Amino acid sequence: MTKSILIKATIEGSGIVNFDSNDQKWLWNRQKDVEKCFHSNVSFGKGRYYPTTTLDKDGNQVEFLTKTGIISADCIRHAMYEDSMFIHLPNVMHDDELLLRTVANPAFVERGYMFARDEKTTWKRKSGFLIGYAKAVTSSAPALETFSNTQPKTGENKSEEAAETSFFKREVRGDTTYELSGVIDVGELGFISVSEIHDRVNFDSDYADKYRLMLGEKLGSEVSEVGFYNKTGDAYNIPEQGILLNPEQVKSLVLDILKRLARFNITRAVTGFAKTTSLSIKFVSDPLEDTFEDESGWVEIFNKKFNSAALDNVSFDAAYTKTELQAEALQKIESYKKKFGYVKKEKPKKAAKGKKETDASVDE
Amino acid sequence: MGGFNARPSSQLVKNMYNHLLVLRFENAGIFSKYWKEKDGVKQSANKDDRVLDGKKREMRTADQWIDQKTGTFHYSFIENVIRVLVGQRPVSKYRNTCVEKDESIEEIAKRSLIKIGSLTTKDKNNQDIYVKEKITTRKALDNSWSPETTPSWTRFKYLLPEALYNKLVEVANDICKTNAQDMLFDKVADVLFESKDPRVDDLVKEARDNKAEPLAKLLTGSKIHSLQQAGYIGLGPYLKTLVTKGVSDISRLDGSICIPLSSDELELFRKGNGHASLFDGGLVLIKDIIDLRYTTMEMVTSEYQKVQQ
Repeated sequence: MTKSILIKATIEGSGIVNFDSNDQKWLWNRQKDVEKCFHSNVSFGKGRYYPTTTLDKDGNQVEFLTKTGIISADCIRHAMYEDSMFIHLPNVMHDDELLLRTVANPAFVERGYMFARDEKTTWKRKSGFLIGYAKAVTSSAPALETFSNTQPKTGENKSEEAAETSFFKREVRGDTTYELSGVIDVGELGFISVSEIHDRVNFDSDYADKYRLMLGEKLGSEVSEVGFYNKTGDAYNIPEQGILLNPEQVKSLVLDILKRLARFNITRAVTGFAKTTSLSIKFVSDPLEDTFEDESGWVEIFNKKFNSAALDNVSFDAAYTKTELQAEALQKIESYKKKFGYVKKEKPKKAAKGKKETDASVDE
Repeated sequence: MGGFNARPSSQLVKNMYNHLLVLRFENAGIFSKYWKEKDGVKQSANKDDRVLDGKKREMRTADQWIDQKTGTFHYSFIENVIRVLVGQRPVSKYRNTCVEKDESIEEIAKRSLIKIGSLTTKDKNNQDIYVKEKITTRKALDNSWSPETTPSWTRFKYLLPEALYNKLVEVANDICKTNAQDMLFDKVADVLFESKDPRVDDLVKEARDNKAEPLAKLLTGSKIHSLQQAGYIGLGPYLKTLVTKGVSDISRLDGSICIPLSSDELELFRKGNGHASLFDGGLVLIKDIIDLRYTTMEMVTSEYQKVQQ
């Protein structure tokens, strides 16, 4: 039974697609043989710096840094799911029905979310899809290049003599190959918790029937009812309330994640592009044997063309088993709910008072 | 009790450690500046930082801080990584939860060793700190740079007292002679202002009584483009709307964790999925299992540091 799926992806591109702040200049200047930078109008790509030592001409040991370009996990996840995430509209976030319709969506089930809501239980879901950052394994040496742009005359530059053209510097790179590692937790992906006492409310359980209907429409098959489940091997002796997706539904979510990763393609107008060129997976049934470092067992599912045949005959471990609760157990859960469930906090009497407090804390 | 899992025995046989489980982690994010000192007492840098204690949300107290030292981290974080790796769920260290801990995991975590490969630098007090990078975060509206608080029906429904909102809808429907909520709020505000209806004056007065100044301004013909432009409305500062306009500093840690284990303890890890998460977005994977019959622990872990106790 497959408990999780390890992912190894190769991403190729040119230039930089993920930028950091110009605070990085202090690290940049500690590199060897690069143009030093003392200005603030510089853009640097995200990267990791590693210390290296060498001998100077007098034979003394000197330490300098070398930079390895990266694409952050947040950037990759954003690019994978941006077409399905339109949630930041207040009209959606403040309306339970709309928010429910939004989260009852495979993209949200896969990626996870958190909606902190005033005076209501926070809706949150931890993603079953975890990745690190894409690290450059081959790339040309980075350099700073000067660019120009045109800006309106504002503030100090309002005078007629001031030029409208502004110069700035940006880090540039040539062709780069990145490697990315990640994992899909099949068990957690297929379980949608509504348990307040486990602090894992994916959505309000009062809307369970609507949620099942909406998610079922998107997944193409009926979603099971809310029940109580035990996690296999868990030391907790309290069953968790939630929805367990069937193996076919979990497989469709897994396929969706892998397809999104295979389709990953960031194209910046000026600075560069990066896209997945190959994707391999490995099924984990024994975590001590099927490790990431072990070269055996990897299956390439994408190289110019996506081939999901490897997933056809795989059976996924559900990780959760349904349990029927007796009256005594239900009573215990209710008592936990009273102790640990959400409590409605009192509204401040005057809004103006709240504003004052906010201002005071800013002054501090 | 029916339906409950049988609790596994936490009394593991304490053999000699004959295995080293090596985990590698990457991208583990730490938001470093999370406390400040005032009059010698540690306080949260975030005024809204609360610890959920049962049903109460209390300010984090001084003994609920972990001083993260560079080069290692507190064993409680590894404890939760191990819990996940053996198929359990993480347990909060400070918050009260309804779940009981499997104490044996804590013992395993306390003997773990850590090697962090991330670069450190010095802060202004000459203390070692991890190098930081910028990330985009979602922040509460009043804590962000977002100007995107356009007046809308939904927002006013959320912000205004129910009676005032209902009155606004009633007057607007009557004056516009249609369902006003089908129209843009800006347009409705213009119609109400131009109507010179005395009921609109009442609404303005009532809005001001309820500290809803932006509504009053809209109904008196002011052209405002955002609620912030006109000051906060009602419970504005308490808005829990998250927007993607926040920027934070974060340190990303890479490294490895070495856990000395007996054979029985190692078998526990077969029950899990072989991966866990660490801090913010960190990915932990099993890298290797070293048999200590063929090497010594000192040889393997010479570059590792003990966990913070």
